[in-house]
Amino acid sequence: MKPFVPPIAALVFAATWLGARQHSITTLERETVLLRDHLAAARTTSDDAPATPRRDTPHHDGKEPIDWQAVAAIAARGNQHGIGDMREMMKLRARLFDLSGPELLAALDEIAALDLPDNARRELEQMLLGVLAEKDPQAALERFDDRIHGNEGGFAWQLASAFQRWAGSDPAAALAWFDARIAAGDFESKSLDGKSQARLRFEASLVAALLATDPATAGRRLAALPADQRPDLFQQGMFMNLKPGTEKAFADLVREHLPSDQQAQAFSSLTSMMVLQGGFEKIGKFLDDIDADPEERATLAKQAAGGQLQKISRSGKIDRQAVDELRGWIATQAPDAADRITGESLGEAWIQRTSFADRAGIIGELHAESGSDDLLIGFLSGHESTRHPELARALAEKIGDEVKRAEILATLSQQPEPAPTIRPTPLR
Amino acid sequence: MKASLLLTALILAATGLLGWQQQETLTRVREIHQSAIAEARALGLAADDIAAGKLPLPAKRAREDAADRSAAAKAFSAELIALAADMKAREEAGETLDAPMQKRIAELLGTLGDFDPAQIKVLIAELRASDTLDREMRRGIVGLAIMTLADRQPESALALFTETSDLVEAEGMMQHVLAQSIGKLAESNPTAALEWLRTHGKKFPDLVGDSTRVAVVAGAAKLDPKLALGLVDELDLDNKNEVGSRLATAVTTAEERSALLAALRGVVEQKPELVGTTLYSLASELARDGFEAASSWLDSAQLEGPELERFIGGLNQHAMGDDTGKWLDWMGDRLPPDQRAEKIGQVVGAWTRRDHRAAGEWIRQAADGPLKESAIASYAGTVAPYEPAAAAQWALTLPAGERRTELIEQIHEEWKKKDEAAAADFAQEQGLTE
Repeated sequence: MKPFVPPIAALVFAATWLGARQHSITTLERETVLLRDHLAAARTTSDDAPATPRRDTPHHDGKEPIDWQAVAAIAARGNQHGIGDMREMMKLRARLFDLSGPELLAALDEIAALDLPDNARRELEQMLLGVLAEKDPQAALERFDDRIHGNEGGFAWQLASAFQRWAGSDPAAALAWFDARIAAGDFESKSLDGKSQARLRFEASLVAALLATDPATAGRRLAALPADQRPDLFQQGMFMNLKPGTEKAFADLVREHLPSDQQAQAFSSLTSMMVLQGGFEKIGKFLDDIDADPEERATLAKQAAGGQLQKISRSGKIDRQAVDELRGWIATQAPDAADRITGESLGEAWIQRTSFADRAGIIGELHAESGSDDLLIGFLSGHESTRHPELARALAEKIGDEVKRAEILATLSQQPEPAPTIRPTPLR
Repeated sequence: MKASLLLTALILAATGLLGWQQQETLTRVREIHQSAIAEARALGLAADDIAAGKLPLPAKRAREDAADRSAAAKAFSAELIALAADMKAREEAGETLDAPMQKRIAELLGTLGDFDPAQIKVLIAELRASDTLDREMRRGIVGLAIMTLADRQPESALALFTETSDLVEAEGMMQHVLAQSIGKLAESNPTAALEWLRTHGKKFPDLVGDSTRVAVVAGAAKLDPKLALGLVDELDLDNKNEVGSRLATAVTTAEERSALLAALRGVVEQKPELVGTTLYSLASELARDGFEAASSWLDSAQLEGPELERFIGGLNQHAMGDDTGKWLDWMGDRLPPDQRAEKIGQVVGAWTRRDHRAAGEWIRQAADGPLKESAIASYAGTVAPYEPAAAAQWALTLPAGERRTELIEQIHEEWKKKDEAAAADFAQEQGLTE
């Protein structure tokens, strides 16, 4: 063999091998650039290109079927505290509204057959449930009847809301379905206290829907529950958006079926949201609509004041002007208790951005102007005053009534309440 | 010939070296390529066709000039403002949002997600100029717009946030928006997130609070948990419960959780409280994934001693759900004897209150031993106020001793409240003095 052959052969091999690999690298890089360009374009284009492709679930609108595995991957990119790919999820949700009930059920079958982590599957099912509940609430309830009792808050609430929607549009059918399920034992309690949270959620949904169309039946449903469960019905979150015109029927239901000491809490299930949505004006109208008596007005005015302070504190500090408005409104509803309620509300409310010292300052100003002991007594009777003994004592000293002053000072001299935090013991 | 062979060997050695370097490049390029393919598929793009150069870039976006985009944003703003007003009116009328309305909302939010920063600026300007929206609605939409951008372009979102501070003010929602945006940035570039904090922290003292700084730590934990733990001190975060909780929720995959655990183990001497609170929170996060997935990760994690104690402390009934029995078995095998009775008792008690049949069934099939005895004691004590006779039956299955005696006395007290005669008979049978 000639001596130059091996090095030349080695060179040829090296050039071929390295060249082929370099070609692979170049090709991959070129393809990646292309992909990135398309990805960037897809992300900034407002075309209604399908957010999620491609295989499997057939689609009647001519768009490509939905690839649920890919959707699950997109959903998984978000986490509990993140927003994930909201854009893609919203586009998908919009597409889901184009699917019929049977198509949504078929999609759920497809998702059930996929190899997905439990939480990813749950997330997809929940998204489809929301749309199916709009299209065919009965189908939604029957598809997920095994989740009615579950402790997955989102599912349980969605199913109860679907039932409420159904009861609103077809009360007879919804009622018949519910009673049949109760008779079959599907809503039996599993808990020791005999309460079935699922039954209570669905009863609350039904009663809330019937208030507008058949308040007598709503009353009978409530009356049929054990007495100790009736107040719970109002704590299921189903009365937050009461249909206008049904306020009086709601109040009659509460007054007729609940003991007087439970009524305020039932009303607050409605008014707590009302004050956030429409402020004092809406609460005032509600109190007029239900012909509230003075005691109800005072109780609900206090609840509303607390809600309003929390609402204000989310966007900034509570100042003197806000408190004057608050006090002025309370006076229109509960003239004899306005100062006490104003004081209590500022003393008890969980207020984020206004320190106790600042609130004490406002109360001090108001007291200096009006001389009202009720302002001070109300303010200092709250839990927070025991955590600020020096400030609280300085205010308490201004109480004119000697007996009341002594009572408050005695309370303040007791052990301060610890801040409500849960701190597990350290590791070491 | 000898020289020729030497030269050949040199050529082959050099080829091998170059090939090795190429291999590293090739591996890296392949990973990036695969990631782009996966991303494209997830977005519904025909990745293979794109890679093959068969599909041109969407022409519309390429052609659109700034004026078109601005006009589109203005038109969109008008539609969004009308939608918000419509929603408000329906809310006031006590109407629920029907399917067409929900679809419209989803479509608009999907489109909003496509906006670039310039278009979002146009939207904000239009919102400011609108007298249809109240302050709260305006803030809500601005916050939403910034958040949608934050997912894709966190730095642009933060820039927008800075520019619109007069609109966002010190608002609870805006703290959330800021935390989301900076957390997202920290996931890919913790240094840039820290830099933003340093530069703008003083400008927005009400907004850049603990939640913002914790978001940076949590975001960084996904990329580099060791760095994230170091930031806890640098950012002066005292509330270890909050930090631990956010760290635990930030890591969502088995790999991320393992990396965080390794980092925690590296600082256990310096940050024992943070290690504890993180493991405590991690327990409920894992339990929510289901027992099978969680136990698989736990097998690899091999928690022991104080780590295991803090983890089990964080397992709560709500998160365990229908897997409570499996978790009880798991805990029973791992808890040290001196902690078994208390923890098993807590879990069984809560489970019994929620679903006494399932709890009773699990106890019935449990193997005899200390675990079962702890469970029986808790079960019987929890059931006693409701079904004292059943509680008594369970209690009498326990071996004689102080625990059984105390339980029988407790059941007797509860029984007396419901049926004095039956309680008296029980007292006589058990030799209790009434």
